[in-house]
Amino acid sequence: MSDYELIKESPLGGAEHEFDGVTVAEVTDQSLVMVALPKDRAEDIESAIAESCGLSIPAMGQSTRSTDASLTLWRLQKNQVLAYFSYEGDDAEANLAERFNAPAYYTDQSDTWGMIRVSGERSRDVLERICPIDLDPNVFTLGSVSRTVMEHIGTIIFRDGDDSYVLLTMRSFSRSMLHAIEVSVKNVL
Amino acid sequence: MSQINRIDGGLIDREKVLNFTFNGQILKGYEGDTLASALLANNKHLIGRSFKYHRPRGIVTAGSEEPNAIMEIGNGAYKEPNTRATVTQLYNGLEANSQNHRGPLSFDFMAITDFLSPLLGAGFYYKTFMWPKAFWEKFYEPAIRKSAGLGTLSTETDPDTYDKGFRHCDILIIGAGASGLSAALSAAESGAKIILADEDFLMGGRLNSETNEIDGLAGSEWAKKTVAKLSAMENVTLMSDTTVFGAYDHGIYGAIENRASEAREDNDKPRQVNWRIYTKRTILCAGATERLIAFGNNDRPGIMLASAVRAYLNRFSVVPGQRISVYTNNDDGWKTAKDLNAKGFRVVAVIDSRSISPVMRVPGAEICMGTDVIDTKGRRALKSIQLSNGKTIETDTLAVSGGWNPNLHFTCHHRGIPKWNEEIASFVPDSAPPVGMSVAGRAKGTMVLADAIIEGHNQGSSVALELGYKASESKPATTSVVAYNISAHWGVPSGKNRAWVDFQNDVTVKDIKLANQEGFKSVEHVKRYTTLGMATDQGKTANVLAIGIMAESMGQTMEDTGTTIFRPPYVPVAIGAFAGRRRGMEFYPTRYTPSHDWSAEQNAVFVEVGMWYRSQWFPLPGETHWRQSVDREVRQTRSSVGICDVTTLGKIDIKGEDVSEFLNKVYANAFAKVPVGKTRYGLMLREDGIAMDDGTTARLSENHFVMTTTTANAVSVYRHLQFCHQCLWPDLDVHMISVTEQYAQYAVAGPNSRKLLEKIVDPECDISNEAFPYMAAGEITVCGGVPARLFRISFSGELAYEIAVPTRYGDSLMRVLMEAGEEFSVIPYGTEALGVMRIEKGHAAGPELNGQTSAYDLGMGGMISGKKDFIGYTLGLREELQRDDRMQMVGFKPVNPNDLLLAGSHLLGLRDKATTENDQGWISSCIYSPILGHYIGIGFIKSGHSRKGENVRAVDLVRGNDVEVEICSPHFFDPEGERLRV
Amino acid sequence: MIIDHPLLGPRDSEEFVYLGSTDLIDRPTNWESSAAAEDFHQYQYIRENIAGDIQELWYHEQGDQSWLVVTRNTLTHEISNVELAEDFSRAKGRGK
Repeated sequence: MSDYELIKESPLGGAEHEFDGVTVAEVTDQSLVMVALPKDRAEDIESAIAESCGLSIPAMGQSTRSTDASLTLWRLQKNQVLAYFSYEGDDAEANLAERFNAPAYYTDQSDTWGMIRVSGERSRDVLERICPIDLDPNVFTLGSVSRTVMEHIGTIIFRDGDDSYVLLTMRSFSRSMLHAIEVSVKNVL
Repeated sequence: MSQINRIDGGLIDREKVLNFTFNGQILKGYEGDTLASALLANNKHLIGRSFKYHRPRGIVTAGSEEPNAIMEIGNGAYKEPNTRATVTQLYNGLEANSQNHRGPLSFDFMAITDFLSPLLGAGFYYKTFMWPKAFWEKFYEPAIRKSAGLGTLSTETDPDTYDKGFRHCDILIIGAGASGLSAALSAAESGAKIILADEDFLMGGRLNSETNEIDGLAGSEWAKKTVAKLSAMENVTLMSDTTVFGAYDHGIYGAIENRASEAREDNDKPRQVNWRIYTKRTILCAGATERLIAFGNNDRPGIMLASAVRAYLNRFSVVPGQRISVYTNNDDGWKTAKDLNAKGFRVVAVIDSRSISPVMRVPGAEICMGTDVIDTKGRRALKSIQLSNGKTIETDTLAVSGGWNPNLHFTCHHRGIPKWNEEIASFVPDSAPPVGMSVAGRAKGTMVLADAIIEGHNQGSSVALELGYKASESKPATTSVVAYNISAHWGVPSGKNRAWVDFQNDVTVKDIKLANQEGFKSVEHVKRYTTLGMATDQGKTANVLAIGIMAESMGQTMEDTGTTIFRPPYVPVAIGAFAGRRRGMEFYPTRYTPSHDWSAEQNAVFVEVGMWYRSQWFPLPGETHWRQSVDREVRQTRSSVGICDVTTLGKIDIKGEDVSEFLNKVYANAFAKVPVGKTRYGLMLREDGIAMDDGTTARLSENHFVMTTTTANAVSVYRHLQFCHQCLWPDLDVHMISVTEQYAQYAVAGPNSRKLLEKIVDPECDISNEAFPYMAAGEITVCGGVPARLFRISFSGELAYEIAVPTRYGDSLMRVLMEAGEEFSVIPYGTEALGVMRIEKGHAAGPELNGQTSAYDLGMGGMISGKKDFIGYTLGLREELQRDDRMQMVGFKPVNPNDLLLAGSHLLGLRDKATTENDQGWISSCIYSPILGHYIGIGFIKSGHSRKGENVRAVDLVRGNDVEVEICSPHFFDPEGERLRV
Repeated sequence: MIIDHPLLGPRDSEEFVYLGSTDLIDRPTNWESSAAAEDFHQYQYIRENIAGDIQELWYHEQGDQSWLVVTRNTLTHEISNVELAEDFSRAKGRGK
């Protein structure tokens, strides 16, 4: 046993704020792993993931989700998918590689991103002040995912419910993003 | 007497009485009023002074085209000058003040300029204030600025907040009048997603001000019903009090939304929201603006546009005067008389410039056909008008209609040029408006309401159909056809009396003619010479009139005269609205390092590095000068151990079968054979052979590398690598991803660094000098199984490591390292100490990688591989880049060790004068070395590499420093690098 | 300005970073030849200044990080075609 212990901490310390019609809360129970798809192995990888997890590689801007909803694949780039899954261990990369059993390149991104969920019936009203992407429910359908820029901050936005969106920003920007959302709430509600 | 001009009816809410002040006087109005309508209700006609001649002026219009009624709204920091009273929705507590007068509004001392007007014609500034030249800056300009001008700024920080937003639609409809509402309805019924925006807080456009009947309802009722219908539709977004101000590329429109009516007294809510609207198609239904006729003294308070009189009468239930006359050149002007009669007011006279039969019967009014108004009387309010038939008519309000100009501004935003239409005597949109835009209704020149409605309806339907939606099945609304006949009539000879064209910039007919006489023949030149159309109203009521006068004066057609075009913004937009919420600390986001909270607890001094906040130094109690802290941090690191957060350096994970090959192409030095478990310094060049960035790249496994970049270039290097891969060598199996934020990375530097790390590294990982030598790299675990990466690299020149853990442990690792290092008196060090140690070691950094230096200049020519093609190889071989007399990087130390040396100093020969010709180079980085006990610098000097040992002077004329320095090797400390390898 | 990304659809140009002409894709491969200096000089510095359609490189930095070849008209600012630079490069015979 080491004499020293490292204590983990989420980017926003589990921040959660409720407003009239909107809840803003940090997401702390998900891991994120990038799965690179080499061109000549893409088919093998796709069939391996289908076999091991029953998941297909989503179309661009879309996601596919396991039946128990614990694992979602996001397609933000042509040559890679991002796995967003319920896992809190330090070895998300190895964990996913084992689950997938596919000859891809895996890179842990869990600590790269701070994740904030904006949910509630007024969520779109709040988000339209910072998000240039069209969040019309018929356009940005359930499971849609996109990477864009909000308030100078590169941001991934994922619709994980009828009125629920997860915003991911590089971890060091988390406080600025939380602030941007809170300013929107103040301006709109 | 309160609201003596208020009458029954209208679209105001008499239940909601609002108090406001005008020049300190408390007045009352109603919900639904504009500031202008409430002022008129209270019989306030004199509301301001003109820009140049300080002429008494009154309200002219009832819309955003208003040239006169511009005021200061609010007080203190909230004061907003040049606000148009005609579009300012009244609210409780509104404070309005007239502007541009000295002394009271009714007696402006500056009105003397009016009597001096013969001296102040077009171009008078250019002609008058030419000499003596020195007077311009000190005397003329301040004096002119003081006397001419608009409102005054508060000079305080704007306390209001602003926001931005993004909206998307299939069809944006600009203007919610009869044609806009018709277009919105048919388009919305098709299923398309619609945004309908209107600058007025009440949708309906002119329907609210006129007495037309549509589908058997009063026009305003029909508008209200239609708005209600649209508002119930899910695919429609209604944006009232929202002015679209610009048409930008590819269907992007800018629009300013004012604080909603119910929140307009709430200063906590943003005053305005600047919307970016993305649309596939746009239908411009902006209607038309009425213009005046130029006749003698046509600018007196009480002379208004005929359409404005009807707006105040019908919409705001205000009758602007007791004895009203009408002067027109078209049928539309007669409606004013009709509406006044309908409300029970007698019209004094109707004067029509056309020699035709009267358009209608106006009981009790004197009808003068083929007649003009040639002069007026009444200094602060209109008293009488003089007609061309010799008659003088006592009247307190003159409703003037010179015809209507289509509001085609947006069709010009992509350089469309309006074309003349004789039938309506105005310009109509060019056939090539911005891509995706079509125009309907009066904005297109369709002046008959019944036709405008059909046009709006049909366009809404057809545009939706083109976008793939089903055709609307509904029929357009119906209204009776009322013809619009006009005969162009611009100005009346006014003799000595001035006839105003542009009220806001005080441009008269005479000014335009003078400009023509002086050789300004192009409308663009006349505009700039006279300043016509260049005020805050951008000549909405003046431009076409002026072109008509020019055409007449030059004896040419309107087509030949041509027109100026419009650019965004359509109306003045506050700078704050463009900034939005991005003010102060929100100008851009802030990035915090993993050790930020811990550092703040230590009272660290932070410095902005790009968006990052980094610890600059860590003052201890008793340290009063930054040098004390920095010197201590350097000494302690060099003598024992120090820790620095280096997370901000760019980190890129690169995986794939071809990574070695890829790195070999992007780095100037050899990278093909880096063994697993080793890291290597790499220098990246631009294609032109100039140094771009440097860093270390480690090979963690056969197909897995991790590259570091400088903090400043983290993003641009990643972009460059993606370019090299995707554009140059797309088939290489290379997969990159930024892991800058994935790992918290700390430099642990100093002779005790290994001993410190051994306390936290798990025992199965051997980091002894033998097992983990200089430039080793590997994946390890720390503190009982936490995954980590360890690199034995050194920027400080000491035995040093960089250790990276998942960022979730970043804060904790800092605390653990400090705790474990207590026995070695470990200290944290900031970017200043980091800089001191790198200069002591002679490492090039930002000030040296300045976009002008080649590898040879930096003394790294020997690293360059000649055995491979890499970015920058061929062009780096150019003769000019290899010359020996280029600026080369070397070290500098003062000959007298007590001398101060400053970065930015220029290098001169010992006896040379400090002139540009004698300049030999500069000191790029400079610090006090606590180890050497004197200042040291690195910099560039001609042929530096071969001049070591020579003395020159480092001169800083700005800070008054001139010292003799010796050119030396930049490697000041431990040049052999022995301390690294122990 | 809107760039119609071939994989993601219309996106605001704020998400992109501009580089320059697609000439930059045609990097000479003859680094060992005596013509290399001249060829690299042409590649790096010499551009046509076209009034009309030009092909230029844009990087979707705040998006999918793809480099795109955008065909834009310098007179009208209209964009007539957008494709992946990767495909464009391969079509020009580039590979490893």
